[in-house]
Amino acid sequence: MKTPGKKRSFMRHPFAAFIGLGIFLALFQIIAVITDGEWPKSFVLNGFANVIMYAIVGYGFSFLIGYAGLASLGTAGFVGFGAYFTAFFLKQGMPDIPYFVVIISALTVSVLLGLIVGFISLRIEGIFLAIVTLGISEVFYQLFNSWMDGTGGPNGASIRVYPIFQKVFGMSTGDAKSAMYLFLVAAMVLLMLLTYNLGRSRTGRAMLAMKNSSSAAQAMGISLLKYRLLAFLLSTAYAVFAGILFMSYNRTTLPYNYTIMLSLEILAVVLIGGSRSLLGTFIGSFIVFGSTPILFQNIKVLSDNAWLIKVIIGAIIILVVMFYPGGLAQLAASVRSRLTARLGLRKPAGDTPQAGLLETAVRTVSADPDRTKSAKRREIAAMLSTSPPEAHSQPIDPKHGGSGEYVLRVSDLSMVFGGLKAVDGLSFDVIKGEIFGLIGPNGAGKTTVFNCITQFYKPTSGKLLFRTAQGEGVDLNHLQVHRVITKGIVRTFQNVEVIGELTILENLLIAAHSQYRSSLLAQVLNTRHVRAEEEKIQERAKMILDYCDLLAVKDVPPVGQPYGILKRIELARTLMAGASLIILDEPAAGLNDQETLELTHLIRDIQRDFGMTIFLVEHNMGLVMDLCDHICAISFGRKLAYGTPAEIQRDKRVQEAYLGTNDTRELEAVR
Amino acid sequence: MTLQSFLQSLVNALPLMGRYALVTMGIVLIFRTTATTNFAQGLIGTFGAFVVTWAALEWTSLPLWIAIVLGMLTGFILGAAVDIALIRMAKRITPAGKQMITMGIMMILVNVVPKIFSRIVLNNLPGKSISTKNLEFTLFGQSLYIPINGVWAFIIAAVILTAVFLALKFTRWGLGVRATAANETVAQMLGVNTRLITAFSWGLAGALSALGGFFTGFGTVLNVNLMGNVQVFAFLACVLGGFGSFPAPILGSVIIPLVYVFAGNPNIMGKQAGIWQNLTTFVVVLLLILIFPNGILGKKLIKKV
Repeated sequence: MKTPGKKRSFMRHPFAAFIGLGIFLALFQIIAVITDGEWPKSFVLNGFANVIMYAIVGYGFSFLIGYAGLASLGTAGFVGFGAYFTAFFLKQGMPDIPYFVVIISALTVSVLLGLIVGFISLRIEGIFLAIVTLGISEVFYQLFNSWMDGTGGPNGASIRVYPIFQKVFGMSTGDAKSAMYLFLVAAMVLLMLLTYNLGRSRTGRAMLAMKNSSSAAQAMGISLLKYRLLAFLLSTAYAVFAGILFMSYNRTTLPYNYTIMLSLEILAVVLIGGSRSLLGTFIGSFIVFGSTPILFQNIKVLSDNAWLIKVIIGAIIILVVMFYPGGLAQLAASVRSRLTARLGLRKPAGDTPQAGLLETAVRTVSADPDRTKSAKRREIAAMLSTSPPEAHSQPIDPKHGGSGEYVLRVSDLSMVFGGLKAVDGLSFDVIKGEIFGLIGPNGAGKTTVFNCITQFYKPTSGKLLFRTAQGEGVDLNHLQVHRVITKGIVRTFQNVEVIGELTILENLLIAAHSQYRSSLLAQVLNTRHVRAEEEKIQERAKMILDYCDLLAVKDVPPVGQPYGILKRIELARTLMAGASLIILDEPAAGLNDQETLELTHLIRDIQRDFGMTIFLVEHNMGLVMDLCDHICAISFGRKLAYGTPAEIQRDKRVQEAYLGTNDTRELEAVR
Repeated sequence: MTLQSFLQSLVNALPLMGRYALVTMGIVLIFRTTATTNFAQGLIGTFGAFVVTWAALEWTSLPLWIAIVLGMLTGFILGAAVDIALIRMAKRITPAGKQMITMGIMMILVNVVPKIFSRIVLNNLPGKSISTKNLEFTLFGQSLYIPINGVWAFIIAAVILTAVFLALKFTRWGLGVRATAANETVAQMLGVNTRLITAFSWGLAGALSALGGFFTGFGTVLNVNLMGNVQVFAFLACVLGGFGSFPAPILGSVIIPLVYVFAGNPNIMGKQAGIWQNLTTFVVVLLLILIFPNGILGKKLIKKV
């Protein structure tokens, strides 16, 4: 499958690279068995076993820090939990419990732990999360260190024999250890494949969206609750699993292994590698956990000064955060693109913003006569409507004014912040198929109205009724933020909320989030159904990009693009969502005259071609008067006037609100 | 539980409050001025505590208070240096990124500090003027005791923190700090020397932490993990009280010692209380934080979209 995510990894066929790495690691063990332990020595193998285990922890951690953007210092506690759980049930004197039962029950508990921590994360603000998770990790550490009967206290815990290989298959200790090593390698490769699939699926994208802009993610139908919990759940499960492997391979552990230092080292592993790169994380793990035992064992100066390596790793953390946030993955990508450029080979696709393409895109926009563009749009729209996503949007009579029934009825809406009444008893109807404008001076409460409709704020009082494309009536106040889009309402933001870490195409896929049907398990396995679904939605996204004149820049991240393009990405996103009501918060803010004109045409075309109802807030009166069928003017949260653009222009109260009053008596009263 | 045991627990909490409040004040100063949750705070304090002990052992004729001032000075320089060399350069980095930078510093210091002081055995300070003896007294007819150095920890912390609060309220520096905390860019444009303000805040935080480190380590054999728990508790105190203002975290650092002493009180928690004291405290404090996720004195902010 040609996923857009491919560019982010630094090998052409990541799966081949992962399996190759696995074979490479396995070879060490095989050679060791053949040479009877002459080479490589066991300390090398033990070193690699550690590298593998902590790489697995790192993969889990990357879901938190790389995808969901959550910092946690609880990792050490969870790894320790896995290790001690295994030790507790496999130690001498316990009844015979099969190994896989231990693994499954540990993972089940880890899911619960992940849910608890994830739940806490929803209540605590981002950067304090590290503090709270550190506290949770301390709870585990204290448990390991204090519970003499269960964990052996400061003396640590140990298991007598290697599970399965020694216990069930009756291997000798040495053979069982070799087999366990190969088991570790296999487990890591398997997890790399699964992690890769999940990272490139809509789940990975949803987490990235959440990290970049939680508001946009919610508006696009992504539940923060679900994806935060999932990120914690995955990271906890990986950590606990690695802990199980640690205990199974090393057979002994001390509480001192699981202090905050381990959490910091895991952080270093992921940061050095590049927070979403799997091979990078492995190399990071090698640098942090493997370099001393494997490489420097025979170099006396370095093996005597292992502390120096840790100091250097600390310094690397600082340097990476400050100067090279992409870590090794970024380094590899830039080296590769420089090499290919120098050798005149295949151009790296999409690694760097392609200025050339962008220019053409901008030029075609301004050079194209409006008439032909409009016709082209109509064609694309016709193609799109033959395969409607969710059948939210049924093209209706494009005649202005629509059918006369309301789509959205706001009645007696009030929103109070502390003592401030931002919106005060506001009522109006938005009629199906029209372009409706909400205007008012700065601070009149326009955006607050939007935020109430889209449930970012829960209104203090008042009713918000919405009629879906299917004619079903919905009380919006009963919906969670991320459910609003599923009823057919989608919004844009005043300050443009695009997802900087995704390409423009992927930004559109985010808007289709609630249209995907594949299960999490299917995404992890990347089944044929998942691939077909992805391809179908991507096709539609490309058509919509074409509609909005963005196709040329589809593989570029939106960061650093001109404002006009960003605004169009947001518009394209609303189309992708297949909504029946789109809410535009100051669509023309920050645009120049030419861009505003183009946007006006685009909005009008959208309304014509898709029969959507459009509700906008705007300060640019030219645009408002030009586009809108009806306008509601508000001031200090109260309705001033409602009517057609011509009526509003004549309205005395509106003029006063904008320009002030001439009334001398009133002026004196103010004095 | 007897009245005696209850009062004794309360008295036991006083020295802890002093130590935690010093470190907490440093953390909140740094957080408010540079939006950084400084995970190196504890280790800067540990460094200072090592310097105090080293100076007192090296020059035995030196009065202890001079050694303490030396340690605080080291903490000041170290803190200010971190701000000048790193945090100032990282203005455009997100708070989460700055947090990771301080974690990197933590990793460096935790490995460097034992190497610097490896030659000397840093145990308690024999023959110095703060005693490890207990002060015995009666209150409500109950005979109680408190370690003399603990009395000092509480008194000195109270005096210093009062001074810092007065300075925040009434001095030019305090006004600058509050302006920087509200909006660094605007403060800078209005002529506040924010670089000086942030560097001084980091320095002061380092010095307070060094003093806290000295009191924590007094009478024990020093090791590099001296401040590990103190730092975690100080951070939790900030979250519990609310990071939004200067006094709120101090409230947190009053509550946590109370939880700690009662968690260790065998009359309440049973015979094994001492073993489980840390664990119980962490669990109770985390539960409290769940009840007050924005801090006891904090307000929930509605994000503008």
